[in-house]
Amino acid sequence: MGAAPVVRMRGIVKRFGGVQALRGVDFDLVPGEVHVLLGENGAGKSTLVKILSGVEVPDEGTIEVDGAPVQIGSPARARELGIATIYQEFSLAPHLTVAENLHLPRLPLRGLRRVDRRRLWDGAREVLHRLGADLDPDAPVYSLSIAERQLVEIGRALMGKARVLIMDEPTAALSAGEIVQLFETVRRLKQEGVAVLYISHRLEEVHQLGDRVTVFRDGQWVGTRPAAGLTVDEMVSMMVGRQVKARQAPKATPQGPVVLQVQGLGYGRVFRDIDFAVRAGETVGIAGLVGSGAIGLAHSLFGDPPPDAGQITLDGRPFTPASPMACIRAGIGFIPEDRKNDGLVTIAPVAHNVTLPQLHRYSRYGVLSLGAEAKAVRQLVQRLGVVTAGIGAPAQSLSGGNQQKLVVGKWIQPGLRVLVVAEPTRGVDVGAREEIYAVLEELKAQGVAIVVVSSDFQEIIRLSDQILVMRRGGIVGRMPASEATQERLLALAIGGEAA
Amino acid sequence: MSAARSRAGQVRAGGDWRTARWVNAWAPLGMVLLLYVYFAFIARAPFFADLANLQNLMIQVAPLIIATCGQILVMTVGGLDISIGGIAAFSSMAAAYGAISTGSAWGVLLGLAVGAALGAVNGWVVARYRISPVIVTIAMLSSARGLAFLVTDGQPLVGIPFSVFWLGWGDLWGIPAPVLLGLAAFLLTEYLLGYTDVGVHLQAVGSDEQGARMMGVNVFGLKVLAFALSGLAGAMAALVWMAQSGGGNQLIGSGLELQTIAAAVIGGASSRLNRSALGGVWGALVITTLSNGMNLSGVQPYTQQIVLGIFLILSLLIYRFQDRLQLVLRRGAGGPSRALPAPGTPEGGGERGR
Amino acid sequence: MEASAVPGRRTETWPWWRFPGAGMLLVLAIVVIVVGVLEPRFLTERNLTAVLRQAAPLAIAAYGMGIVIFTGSIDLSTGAVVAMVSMLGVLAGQAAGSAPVGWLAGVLVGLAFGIINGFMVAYLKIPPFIATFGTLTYGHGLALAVGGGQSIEFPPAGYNFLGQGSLASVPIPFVAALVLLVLSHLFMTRTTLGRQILMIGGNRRAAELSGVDVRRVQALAYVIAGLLAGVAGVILSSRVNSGQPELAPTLQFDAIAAVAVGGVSMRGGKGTVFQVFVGALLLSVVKNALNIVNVSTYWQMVAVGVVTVAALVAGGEQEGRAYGMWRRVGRQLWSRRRQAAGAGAEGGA
Repeated sequence: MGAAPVVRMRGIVKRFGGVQALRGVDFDLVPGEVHVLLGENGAGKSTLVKILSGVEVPDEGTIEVDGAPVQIGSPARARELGIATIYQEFSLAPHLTVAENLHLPRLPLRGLRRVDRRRLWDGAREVLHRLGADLDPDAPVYSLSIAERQLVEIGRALMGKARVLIMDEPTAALSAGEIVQLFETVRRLKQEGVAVLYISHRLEEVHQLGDRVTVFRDGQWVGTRPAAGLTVDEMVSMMVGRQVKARQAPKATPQGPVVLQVQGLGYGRVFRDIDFAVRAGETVGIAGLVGSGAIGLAHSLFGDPPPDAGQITLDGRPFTPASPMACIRAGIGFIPEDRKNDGLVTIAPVAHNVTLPQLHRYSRYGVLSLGAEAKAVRQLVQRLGVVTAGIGAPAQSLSGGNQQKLVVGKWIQPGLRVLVVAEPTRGVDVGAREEIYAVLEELKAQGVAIVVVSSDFQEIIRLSDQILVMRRGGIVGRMPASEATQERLLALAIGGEAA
Repeated sequence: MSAARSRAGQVRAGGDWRTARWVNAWAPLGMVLLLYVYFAFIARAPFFADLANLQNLMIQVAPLIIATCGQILVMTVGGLDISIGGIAAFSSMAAAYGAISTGSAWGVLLGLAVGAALGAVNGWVVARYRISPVIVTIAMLSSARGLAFLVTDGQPLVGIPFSVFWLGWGDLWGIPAPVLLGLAAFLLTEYLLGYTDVGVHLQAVGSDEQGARMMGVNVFGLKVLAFALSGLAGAMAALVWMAQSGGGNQLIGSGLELQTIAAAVIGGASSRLNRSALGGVWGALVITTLSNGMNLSGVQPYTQQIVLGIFLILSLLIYRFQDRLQLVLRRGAGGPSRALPAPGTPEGGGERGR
Repeated sequence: MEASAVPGRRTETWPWWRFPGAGMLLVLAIVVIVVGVLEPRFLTERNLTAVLRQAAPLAIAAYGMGIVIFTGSIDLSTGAVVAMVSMLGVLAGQAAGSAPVGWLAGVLVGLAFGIINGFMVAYLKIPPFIATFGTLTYGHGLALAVGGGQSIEFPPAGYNFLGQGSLASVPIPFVAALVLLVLSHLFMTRTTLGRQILMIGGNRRAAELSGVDVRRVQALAYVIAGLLAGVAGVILSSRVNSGQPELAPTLQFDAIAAVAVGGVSMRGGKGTVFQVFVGALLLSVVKNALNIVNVSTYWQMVAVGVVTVAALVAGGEQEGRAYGMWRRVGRQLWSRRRQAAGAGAEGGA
């Protein structure tokens, strides 16, 4: 690759509070290449993307675009420099047409500010053609599938004459056919000389699409290699590192009765044919990366929304998770992955959050006993070691780790039979993480059946007795935790190795 | 659904969206015609089918169309303007004052300026402080009507120059002036919304405010613009009523917020997909035909109000159902694309307002 | 974590005077004192009872409005509901020849409208604004239709007691407002439903994932608002001792203003009924004061609008810069005072 790099980053350092997200990394992008950025969760990939797209400003280091040093500083400046980012959440106006969305904010005009429909249409057709996308420019965006909306986003980048395209997990929500189409599009862009920074968890995509691969680990640059000839094993070991595996002493196999049995569970395109059973006092870990359907499975077990295929038995009786309410009545608890939007009413006090799912326990005929509630909450706060100014303080005043303890605490109650946990320690500092693990272990010891869904495989191994690996909505591997290694789980989850 | 299938579907459906939009925009005309046929031939309301009454109906509906155009603009950015009647009242006072003090019909321009300014204040507070437009405009309704009473201590402002009366009673080539003004307001709004980039931007704001901001649309300016134009429309409607009633009057525009919202909703213009003022015209015609026909049939005005309230709610339910149906039909037999409904994902159709 | 290191953060030793509504209570006290000093006619017993009598129905309707606003919704139908309540209340009273039957019937009418509103918003998913606006329209039409456009006079004897009577010189309406204040406040703070109302207003989805039946709670909030509007309507009707189709056509606007002035967030999830009470009282006192000093009622209309928006802007309706400004000012004053205190202590040592 002889061309001069369009983007050259040197010695980039970024700190968030006390945490060093990037510790002096280098990164280049050459026109006409697809450069894949790999790394585990928290390796610093998304921080690099944010810096390059102008959302974050680096603390140290230099960025050159076309050889000239630049300060990016704002998303608008990034656009001016020809750097476009496709996030997982789209920023489109859903009720406007494809053509209008492609051109916004500057529409082709003729006299009296009249939109030139012909040029609007032609421009849209041209861009869609370049993308190889067969979309009706007149269709409103809300009628499109996620893959089609993504194409519109990419088209917007092209309309803005982008020379650098950043794609963050673009295939996470796509079906196999849609992925093929997306790859075709990316190859076209490559031929036009666009430099693509591509982030993905799916290692097979590296070979299908990538020219070069850069791996980050713990905020550090590990290496940059040509994609051709790089084996999956090599990639995995670069990502995980040669760290000593914290093998755990073999856990005693739980002997309790089967509490939750799941057969052939499915929901739309998200997941299908899921079978597993959890015993009392057992933890089943479901390892899955973004887009694997694991998070969707967790939500569906809690009736949000109910699965549309398969059976569930709870304590030997058939059970339909019709709604979160029905699940709670049946003794199922759920810790969602999105604490701020799904887990907590952040403006409400600590106490109200903790007791919300079990208000009936502190009330008689609908009248609350505030004294009993406060006493129970104080005990719980103490037991979980929640650092708060008081049980009346709003939940938003707590740190991430302490907020997460509240979400866990919501479900600690005598009637709990099953606890479904999604990403229990996302955005949680190390100390609080261990405390949360301890609480989960304690619940397990009390005979609760636990299902942990996580993309942090160390966490899965640490917590589980049995492990399932999910990829593209299906289960691709099962093993007892004693046989699991991070490499093996990762390899299964990204599809590099036959199980 | 596989990509191939959806692609095939789109090739077949190419251009369908324009047809669908066209049908949506014109369908409420059917409601107007049905009402007309009902009153003319079934209920046989006395004088209803007379040419004179038809002309009368057109003159009656014109100011409502003007005001509804403003309401539609505000709805397009995802807001609601409850203050439009209050602004109309104060504007009529300002217009009368302007006309009397200058002794010229051009003095009524003061009323238009005041209306636009009050509307801009609405927009500024809504956009700057992110307070619900319903609350802000309720406050403006009360304030503006209070101001209208204040300037003359509750007395109507009479003695406007004779030339102003043309706005209410005059005609040009046989077309009554109010009808001309209504037509002008409709055409200008239709042009702004349906044909210019401003219209696209306004709809982008109403569709997904955050998304529009990310795309580089000037959300703040567009909100101020929409509310200012709504104030202007209220003032314009007030001019017609003022000229008809002979002077500035504090009671002008009472209930106008309800009528404009009802007109927009009944005409289907409250849908987020709407980018036309046509629905407002149909809605205004439905409301006016209804009240005119019922009046002539001897139905009490309060019964009309009951019918209007029920009409409002029913039409919203019908449009919602229609939106959903369309999306399902378009997606094919498989129903809407199956993905876990992500919270906060903007879905199609839907109405604006809290 | 040292709470003291973070200025502005709640500490365990929460001073007793910093409860929600305290600020507005202070403003109310200041207004009362200032007006009382400037205008001696204000602090007479006769005037004060008149203020309380006026404030009571507004306060009661505003409690209901507040409860709906706590869920993040709005109710624009109150004006029509009270009119219907007064018409049917008087009619029922006449039919039964008994005032209490009339009162009860009135309250039940309010309840019925609450059920209709709740059903439309929660189960038919009509946007609250349009659903309740619709109720405002047909409700007003119904109120006119019941009396053929006329008011209904000659209610049974004693019907006017609730509106015009007094209990040891305290107007009965105000007694009712106080009783309902206590009841509504207890409802919001001490019942599961009240708690759930606040939680769905704070974060609908998190509440749903915690097992709250969001639709039912949303509907019940409207039902309670309807009930309270019914009581307010009975008191208003009893005060004029008749059924009036134009009883208080803009009551919903005043009620919203009272809620806003009380410092309740229009986004829901936060607030107490006590704040609403203080807001209603403050609004009535200001109106009365303007009345006494002969400011025209028209200025009062302007004042209500301006005060409502000002309260929302100053109260910081989320992310508002004004809110940040107030907090910054507060913090600076606070830290300066601390520094001064610290310096004083050091100087002393």
